[in-house]
Amino acid sequence: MDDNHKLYKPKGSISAAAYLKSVWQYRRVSYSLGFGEVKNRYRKNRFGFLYAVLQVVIALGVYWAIFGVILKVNANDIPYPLFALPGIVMWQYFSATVSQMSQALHASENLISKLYFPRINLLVSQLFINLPEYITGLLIFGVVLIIYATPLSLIAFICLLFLLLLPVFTFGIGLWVSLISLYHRDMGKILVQLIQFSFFITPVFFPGTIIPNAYRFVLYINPVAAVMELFRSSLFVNMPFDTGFLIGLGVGFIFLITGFLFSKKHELKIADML
Amino acid sequence: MTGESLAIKVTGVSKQYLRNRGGGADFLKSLFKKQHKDTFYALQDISMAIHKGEVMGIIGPNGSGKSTLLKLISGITPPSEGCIDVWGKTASILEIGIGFQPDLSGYENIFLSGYIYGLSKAEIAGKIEQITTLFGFPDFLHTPVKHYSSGMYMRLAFSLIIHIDADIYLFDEILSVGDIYFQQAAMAEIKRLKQRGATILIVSHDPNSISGLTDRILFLNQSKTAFCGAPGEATIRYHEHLTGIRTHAEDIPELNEEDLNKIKRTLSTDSHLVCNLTNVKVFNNPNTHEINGHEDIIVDCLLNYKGTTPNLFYLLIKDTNQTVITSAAASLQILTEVKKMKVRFTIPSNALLKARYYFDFGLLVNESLAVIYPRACAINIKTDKSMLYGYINLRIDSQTEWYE
Repeated sequence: MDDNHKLYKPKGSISAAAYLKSVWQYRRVSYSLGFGEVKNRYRKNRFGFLYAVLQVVIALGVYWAIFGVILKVNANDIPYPLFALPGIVMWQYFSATVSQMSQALHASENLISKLYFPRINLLVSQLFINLPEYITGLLIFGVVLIIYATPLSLIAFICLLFLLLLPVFTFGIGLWVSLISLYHRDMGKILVQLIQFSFFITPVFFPGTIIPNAYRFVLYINPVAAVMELFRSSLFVNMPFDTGFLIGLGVGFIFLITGFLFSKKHELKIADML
Repeated sequence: MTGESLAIKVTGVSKQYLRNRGGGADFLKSLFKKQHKDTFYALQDISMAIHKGEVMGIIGPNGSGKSTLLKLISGITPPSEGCIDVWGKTASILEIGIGFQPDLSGYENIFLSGYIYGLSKAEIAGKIEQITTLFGFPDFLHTPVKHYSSGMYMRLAFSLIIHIDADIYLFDEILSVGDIYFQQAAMAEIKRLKQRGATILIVSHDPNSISGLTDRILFLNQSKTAFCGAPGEATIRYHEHLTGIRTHAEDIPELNEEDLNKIKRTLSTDSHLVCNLTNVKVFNNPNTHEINGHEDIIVDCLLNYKGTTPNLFYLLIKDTNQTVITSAAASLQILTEVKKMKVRFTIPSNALLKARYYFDFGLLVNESLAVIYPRACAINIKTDKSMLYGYINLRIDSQTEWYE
């Protein structure tokens, strides 16, 4: 079958490789939808970039005051802002993106019913929307890192890998949430709520080590917890490396792969489901 | 058949949709009770083949399945039965202005929307000048599109999509945007695509707007193919469908009371007014069936009438596009009781030229139509020795002389 011939049948399934190829072919749809929205948002916003900075700084101030100063959470002798900031930035990116992804298919009903493109590209575009805040947060973290002049571990460069893994895992979880929302909208909303609450079982403002061993598996199966804790332990000398978090990485990839296959299977139905 | 000469082949395609997909409480109910699915057909058993370089129009009333067919051909949704083959790169323009962001400028939006249609940055940059020219408001190119008028917005979007390179173009109701000059420009652009050899499928409510452009027209009605063929014939069939009269191409020289009651429309609320046509007949000579233009054409109308004001009974002569060519009126006196009366119109010989005509009858009360019988009769004037163009022979005098 040559590239220019297309056959539309009632039920067709394509291989994962062919599906990936078409997702790549339509990559411009993802850029356009994602960056278009970002550009539009910043054009409207009078403070522009400053807004992203403020968002991170205010969140850090609140967490620092409550957990660092008042409750005195033990962050393995790492200065509290330095400890909490990556957690806050990562959590904000994850939670905002998943909640946007859960609504993306419904919100773009018009686009989906008027144009063909792999529907997963629309979900990919959501990963770009919170990227400016994510990057700004990480830059601020870089500044804080310099201010405190903390000794870094020898394998600190590995932390970059975890920064990249966060959007990947966010995508896997977001895929599931958005496809479930498609079938049962209310269920999607409940799921998003549950994910927001999982903030408390994610080491955003506390280190995993303060959770008793008997309960720590709750953190281990959480891919976002894995990314955060492994990021910190690869960067800071004082942060012990807990092999249990490798489970979270596995869970993250399982979400991604099953989510991808699930959306490939439901691809054709999406336009009619909305 | 191979894809050598075909661009699109639709084979026995049907599309079923669920009528009501319940949410909330319905979902809970469905967990406990198996519900039968209430489905309906948006398209039923459609087959057609479109050759490369052919321009095909799709017409039909609302809900006839026009847009669904385009969605199936562009792959947005799969058919429920049958299959569709498409050979060539397709640009499906079911809506224009896709991907536009309100706070960004026209220029930025050209790129954003272009990406969505699969164009690369270089491709768009290479066409930006042509796009801007067709858009026609260069001063506004760097203004956020939210400040555009709706017409300008549409023009910008159309200017972009017409510059997408593809073998097959699917247009859904896009000629209805913008003012008349823009519509002409849009038409010219589509003709340009046609000359380039593109295959085009174009959906419209209005067959007249596309009949000049198309090679064939598919008329969909109630999710089935009602007709597929020459644009002129399709247009007639569609008008017949809209007006509720099945005249096809043959003549309707006579109507009885039953037929007339079916097409009657009363616009007046005056309960004292009575105007019922009981018989209408068009003829040259009571003994022959054929109607020709060389002899006087008689139109006899029998009606039951009562009216408290002096009114006018009209005969409107229309062409196939429903344009009134000419009319005649008979004055009706005040009548306080219902009486049977006969109105005879005589169209003089050699006045109507070779064409197809429709006759409407109507009653005018206080300068507004009170009762109308649209497209009651249809006749074809087949022969014409005059060699004149148009509909009516005004018997314009012509003289020639040598002046050198």
